[in-house]
Amino acid sequence: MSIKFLIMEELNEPILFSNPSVDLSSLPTTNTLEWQSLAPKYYQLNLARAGLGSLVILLFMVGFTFANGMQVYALTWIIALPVWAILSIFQFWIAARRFAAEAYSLRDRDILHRKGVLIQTETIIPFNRVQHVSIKRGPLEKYFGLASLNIFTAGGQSSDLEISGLPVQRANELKDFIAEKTGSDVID
Amino acid sequence: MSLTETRLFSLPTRQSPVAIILILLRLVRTLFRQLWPLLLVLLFNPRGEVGGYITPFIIGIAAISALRSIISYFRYYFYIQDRELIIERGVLQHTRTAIPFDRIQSISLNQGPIHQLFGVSSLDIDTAGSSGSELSITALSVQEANQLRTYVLSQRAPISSQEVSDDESEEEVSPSIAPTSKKLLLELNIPDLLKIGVSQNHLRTAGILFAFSLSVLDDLEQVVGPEIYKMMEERFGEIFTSFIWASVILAVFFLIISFALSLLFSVLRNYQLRFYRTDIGFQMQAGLLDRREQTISLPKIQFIRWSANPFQRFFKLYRLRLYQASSIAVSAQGAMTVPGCYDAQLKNVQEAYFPDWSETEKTLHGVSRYLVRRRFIIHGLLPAGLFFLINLGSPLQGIIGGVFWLIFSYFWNVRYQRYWKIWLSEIGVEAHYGLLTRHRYLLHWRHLQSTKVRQSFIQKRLDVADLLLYTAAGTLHIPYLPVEKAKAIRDFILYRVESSQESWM
Repeated sequence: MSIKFLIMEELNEPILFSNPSVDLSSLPTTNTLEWQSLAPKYYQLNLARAGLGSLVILLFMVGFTFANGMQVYALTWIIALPVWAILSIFQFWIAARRFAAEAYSLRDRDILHRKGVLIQTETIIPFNRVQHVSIKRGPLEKYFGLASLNIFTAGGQSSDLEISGLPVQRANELKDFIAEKTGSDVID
Repeated sequence: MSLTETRLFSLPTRQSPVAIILILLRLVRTLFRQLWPLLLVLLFNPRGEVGGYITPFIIGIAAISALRSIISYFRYYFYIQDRELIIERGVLQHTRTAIPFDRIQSISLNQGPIHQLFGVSSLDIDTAGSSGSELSITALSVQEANQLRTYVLSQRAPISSQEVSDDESEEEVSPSIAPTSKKLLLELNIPDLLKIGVSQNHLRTAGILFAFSLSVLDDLEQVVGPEIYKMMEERFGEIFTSFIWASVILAVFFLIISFALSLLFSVLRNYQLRFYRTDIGFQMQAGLLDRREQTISLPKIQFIRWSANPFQRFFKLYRLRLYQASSIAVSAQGAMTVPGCYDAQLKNVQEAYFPDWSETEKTLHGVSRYLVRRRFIIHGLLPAGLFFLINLGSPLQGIIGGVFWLIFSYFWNVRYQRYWKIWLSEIGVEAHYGLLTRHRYLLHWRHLQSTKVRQSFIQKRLDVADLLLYTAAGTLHIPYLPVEKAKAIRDFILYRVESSQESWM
């Protein structure tokens, strides 16, 4: 496997904390992590999604005009078009930034994922809490040869993790790796 | 369990015939709820012309639904096969649901007034897993219900031997099952009930009542016809010449009514509440008309939360909730709510959930001062600005009101921020927040499922972040921690979760 593992010595040999107060400075941190970025094609996928999104809105606007028998005031279009343009630009901007914002990282005992342009989140799921792992591929993702990895815990929908923009092979490797990790935890 | 009982449920069994009555009653209730404006029209029949086609329409719908309900009773079977509880049902479309015993989290028996009358009980089966389905059997004789529950729970895998004791709950109903150790922690007497009733959130009831009466008024206008409605309005208009007087009187009226209502409901709901500590967890029975019973086993409790509003603080009462992992997890139903308990019971629950919490050394942390700024903008500036805009006609009033609100909001939020207290230890966390109603929660790290550190673009500039702790029973949330601290806390929790073999359930 080509994945780089960042194994933390501290975790391999559980240390008994003799200091009862929480010493925040001596903990394994995530600051020195090596983040894996996503497939370059994911950048194109995001742009394609943004393009499709604004196209759908434009079509909807045209359709609305036709449905009204072309009886829409010119003023409506004069206002609606710039609004549409600004929204589209915003959408493209977000889509372009998203690629740089998203990354994941595997460690010996957990998986990390960060994402978000306006609201950034960093999720960490320990392997011993993973319920199951699955791979999802939408039509656009299939076209770009990408896949999404879904990791489920018992913590409900908002705590589940979806890593999108993975090459199919990498997604499968990750799935197998996590399944193996969690499986071994169950046997323990 | 004896073989005879095993055989008993191995054949497809119907529910008790009482189920027909219950199903029909449920139908009547639904129909009434959907159609009551129409029924009102029929009763008063202000113009005499509507009744003609509405009556057969209603009767038709009622008859078809009733027929369907009765058929559904005869098409409903349950049985046990290969350590699975199987339920087959459906009138047009046949459904077969198989629940493996091991996936059954809990089975609770519930008796409404009609159940009590006929000596039957409904069975609610809660399953774990993402499928999120909860199944229930409408009516089964109490004896059968107990047999079924005891059998299923005793056949269930690891903790089965203890889990049977889960059952002696039904002392009054089934004395045959030997009671095992069960300690009564709390029994509410009448003064307690009144205290709990008085300290309910009456404002919320008033709000619901207000919304409800608005919708009723809306319907009423259609029902009685615009002329009568207008006449009524005019007559009321004479009395309530001033809008302010009208709203003050209305508000007082709604408050009084809602006070009485929430008191009544609270007493009915919590009548003879008994809260037990059992071998495996806790149990609660309560209710006058609808006697409900809830059992929760210790390993399933993910976190506990307790709160006290000013009234409850006056009575030294707490509202205590035990959040358990279940298929309906993230909703409120997954929790056991003790509407009122005292310090002793609270201590007992804390002790059971988190044995050495009080002795554990903790460090105290607060949230960032920036929280004041954010809350001041949302709860202070925004409403004040709106108030000013509404009162543009009399700017002085707008300015005075706005400034007053801003000052109030500022001091309120400064205190709110100071009141956020987080006690961290190696094994768990306790947090306090809220000014008017004071909330507290207690979480053992081993119940943690995953964590998230969240930063909006504004928070990023301020170098603060929210920390979200996900459990199988819901999410706990610590806002506005300095980023470094949020990440350090998260890293520590993960270290705890990942380096221990303790299971979360």
